[in-house]
Amino acid sequence: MKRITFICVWLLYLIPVAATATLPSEYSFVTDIEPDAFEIDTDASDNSMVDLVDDEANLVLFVGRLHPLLVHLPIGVLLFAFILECAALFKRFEQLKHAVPFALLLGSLSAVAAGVTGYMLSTAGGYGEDLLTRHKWLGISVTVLAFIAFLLRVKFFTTPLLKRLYAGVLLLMAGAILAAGHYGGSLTHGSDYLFRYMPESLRAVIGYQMEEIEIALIRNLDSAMVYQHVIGPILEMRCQSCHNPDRTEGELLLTSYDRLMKGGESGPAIMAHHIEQSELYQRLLLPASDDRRMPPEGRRQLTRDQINLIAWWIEQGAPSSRRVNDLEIPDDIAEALFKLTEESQSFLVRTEVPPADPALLERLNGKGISITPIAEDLHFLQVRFTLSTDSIGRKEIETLLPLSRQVTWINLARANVTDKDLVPLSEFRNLTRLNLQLTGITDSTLATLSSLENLEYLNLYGTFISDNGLQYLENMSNLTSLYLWQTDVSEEGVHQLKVQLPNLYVDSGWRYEEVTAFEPD
Amino acid sequence: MSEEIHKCNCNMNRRHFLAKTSLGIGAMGLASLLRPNLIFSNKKDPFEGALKAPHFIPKAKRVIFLFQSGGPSQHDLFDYKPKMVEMNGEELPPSVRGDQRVTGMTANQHSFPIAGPRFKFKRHGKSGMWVSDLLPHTSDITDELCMIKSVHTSEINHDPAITFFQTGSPQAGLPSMGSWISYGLGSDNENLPAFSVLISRGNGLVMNQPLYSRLWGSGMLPSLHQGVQYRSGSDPVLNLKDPAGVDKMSRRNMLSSLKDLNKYHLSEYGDPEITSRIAQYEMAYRMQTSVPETMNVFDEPDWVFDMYGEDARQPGTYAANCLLARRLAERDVKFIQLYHMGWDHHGGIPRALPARCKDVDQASAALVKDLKQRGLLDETLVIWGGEFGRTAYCQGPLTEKTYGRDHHPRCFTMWMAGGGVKRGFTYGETDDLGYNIVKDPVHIHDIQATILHLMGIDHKRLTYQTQGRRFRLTDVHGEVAHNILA
Repeated sequence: MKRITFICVWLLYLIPVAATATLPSEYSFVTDIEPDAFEIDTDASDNSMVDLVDDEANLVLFVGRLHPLLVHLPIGVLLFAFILECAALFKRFEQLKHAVPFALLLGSLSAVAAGVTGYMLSTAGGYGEDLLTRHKWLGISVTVLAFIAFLLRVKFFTTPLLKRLYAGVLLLMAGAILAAGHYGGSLTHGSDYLFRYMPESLRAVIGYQMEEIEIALIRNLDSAMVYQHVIGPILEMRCQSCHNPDRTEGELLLTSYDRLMKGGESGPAIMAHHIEQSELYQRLLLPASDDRRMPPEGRRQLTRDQINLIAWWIEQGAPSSRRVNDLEIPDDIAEALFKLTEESQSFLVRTEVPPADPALLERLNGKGISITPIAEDLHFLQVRFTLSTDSIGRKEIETLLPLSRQVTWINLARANVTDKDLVPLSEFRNLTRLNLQLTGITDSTLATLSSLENLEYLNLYGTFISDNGLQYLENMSNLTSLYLWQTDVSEEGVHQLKVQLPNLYVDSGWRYEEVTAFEPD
Repeated sequence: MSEEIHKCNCNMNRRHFLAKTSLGIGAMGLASLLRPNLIFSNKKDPFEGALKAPHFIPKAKRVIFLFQSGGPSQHDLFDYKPKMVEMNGEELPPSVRGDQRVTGMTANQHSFPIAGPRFKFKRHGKSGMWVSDLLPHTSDITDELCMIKSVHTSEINHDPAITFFQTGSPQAGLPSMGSWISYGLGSDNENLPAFSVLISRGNGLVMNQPLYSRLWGSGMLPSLHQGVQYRSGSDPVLNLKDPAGVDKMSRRNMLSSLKDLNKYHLSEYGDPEITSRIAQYEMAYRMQTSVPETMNVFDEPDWVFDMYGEDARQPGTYAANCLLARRLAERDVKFIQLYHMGWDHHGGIPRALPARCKDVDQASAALVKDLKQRGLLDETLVIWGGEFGRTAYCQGPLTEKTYGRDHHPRCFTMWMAGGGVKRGFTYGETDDLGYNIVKDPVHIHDIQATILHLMGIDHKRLTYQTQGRRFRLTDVHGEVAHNILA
């Protein structure tokens, strides 16, 4: 009877496993594709366009892939043993101590199983050596420590020394489980998985810094190489976080041209001249819900331009070392290429900042401050004050400080603010547009702003700015538009500033002389 | 509330709590399966846009559309063709007209003599843009303008053509451009509607081509996105004022009770129009303060009226509306639509056209200048143009003294300024007789796609599903005119 129950349980368990294992055979082989398939809205197209190569059976890998399933047994059981032991310290739960040896034994046995399958899985390759080594040895330590703990526990009552040793081993084991689990997670999901959406404040506590990626731009399109300067950087930005030597998903390495052309476990990623047979390209077009869509859901997606550039490159034969200009360039590609050049890029496009904490955004939004993203792909924010103009002050601006990296447009037009209120603005280093027109500010605010070197638009019309204040703007090399109508700035002051910043557009009112003749107000 | 009732309310034992919450969590789970986007969504404010964020970084934060209703003659204002002057009175070669169907108004004409412009043209600004002497003030701002000479439309009669321009379809009933933008991006000013409409009539004209309020209707979009018309006179928005004898407090109480009733109704029926209605009542209440403040132009200094022209002192004129447009723009209204009637010059151009130009020239130019010095032109797209152009050939008698022109959808001229378009730039070209486009055509759908693009919206992705399919402003057409973007 016992045996029959056991078999039934195992059969039940095997059903999902078998289902998973047979899934790839359901994928159809679709080879004929509309030539302009890439015009189709990627979210709307439901056609499967990818050939999946029929892998040979591999028992080691098959068993190895049970690792993610089995690994949760020791994690759960051993941690539970730890919890039981802690609980048993209290009189009320004392009887739980009898369950501990059993849990430790079961846990250490399942840890062996997890370890073996884990080793089998690692033979497939594609994992970063460094991370893998750490994960492997921590896993082995857990198994060993659990077993030692079990032996000690059985001999528990013999001497006080053993008792103390047991407690130490148990603690160590629990720590090792957490660490091994973290590295395992990093192997599967990428090393920034845990911290990506961590609130900024927490990150500061643990000292974790999200990278701000500056996209490499083409300096001179005439001499740019198509792979090195156009395609490579796209792959680097959007694909290499999973297809790198640390973590080679699908055995596809996208860090070099040769490895890209070699492809991964489902064959070559690129078929020169044939976008419809290039799996890398086809996967970019799958609907977001498709498991094979790349980049997968939740990751930064390629833009339409980037996808089109990849298609164009493949159609041109996927060359490794040719100049962009040696290839045939249709109009839309020319435009997309131009956007990759330094001269076309605005600061906001070429700079990436970490996303703002959504909880913080929700807390601040709606309380008289409107904070909205400037565009869907960017983490940059714009701020408007919907409070009555009298109730904006230093306090309100200071509440934005946790967002100082994300906020890039601030509109304080007509706000009843003075120089003192605006002191915190100096922290907003990524500010590109600032509306301060019709406020009571004077030259000292300009001193506050002088550190904002990314500022492009500054509206100061109707304020008490004078020639003296303009000196603080002299180092703002990115400033392109400055509005000074109805201020105390003289023509001479404007002239001085323009000597320093020849590309700056300064507006002192429509035709200075005429408008001053009107005598405003 | 008596203590007993309060106690009773607090009277929930563990069993009740568990029973209630487990059912509740189950219901939430089910709801999240059925409508994953709605559950846990923070969207409370119906004035928030349908898009979480613009598709790209917007170049323009708002649009001021100076619509010249009736179809201004491009031949006499912008699209200068010396050949037409040279060939004045000669027959339009049939090869130029091709097999085009013309309107019933000229279809029976025996001849189609070319009517050269009777007005002097000069080149202006650094770019040397051609502008007729009829528009001296516009000539002043050519370095700010992006002149598109190759606009064409699919419609040849006023109402379908205006409807087409506003809604992307000649058949009435679809949402207007301003409604789409309000729907997509929401409102930047919670005290004023995102889509405002101002109408003026040709000075001294008795008859004008009519306009219909459906031109600023919201179609199938929630009705709070429809354009709100501001009128001249003491009651700029109809039915906004409290009736005599009703004070602020009773109005507030009435609205609050009404809101409760509506909310109750909403919970029963779930009709989103009820949400719209609640929001509109609240908006109307706030507008009781914000509208008079916005419309009060008397706080403007005298030199402003010198700039926009003396007409600006007279409410209801185009010049006054331009000044209001600036005030609305300063208050972050997203889409400001002006209509000026009276450009339908089938005859009598030498007398009638200068009058219309006088209506609009100074104020249009002043608006651009004024926005510029306030630093707003940078982020405001100003558009000037009508629903179609006028023919190169004459309608009616072509005499020394007079001539007229029929509707011409094949090509016409518009200008844009500010918010992300090139400055001092002329785009597109027509043939020597100004009849057909020879270079860089821009269709109305392209103009619409471009306007949305400048506002940060991908015209293909701002859609609304109704009657079993998704609708959008540009239907299945439209290409962004990238060449005019700065």
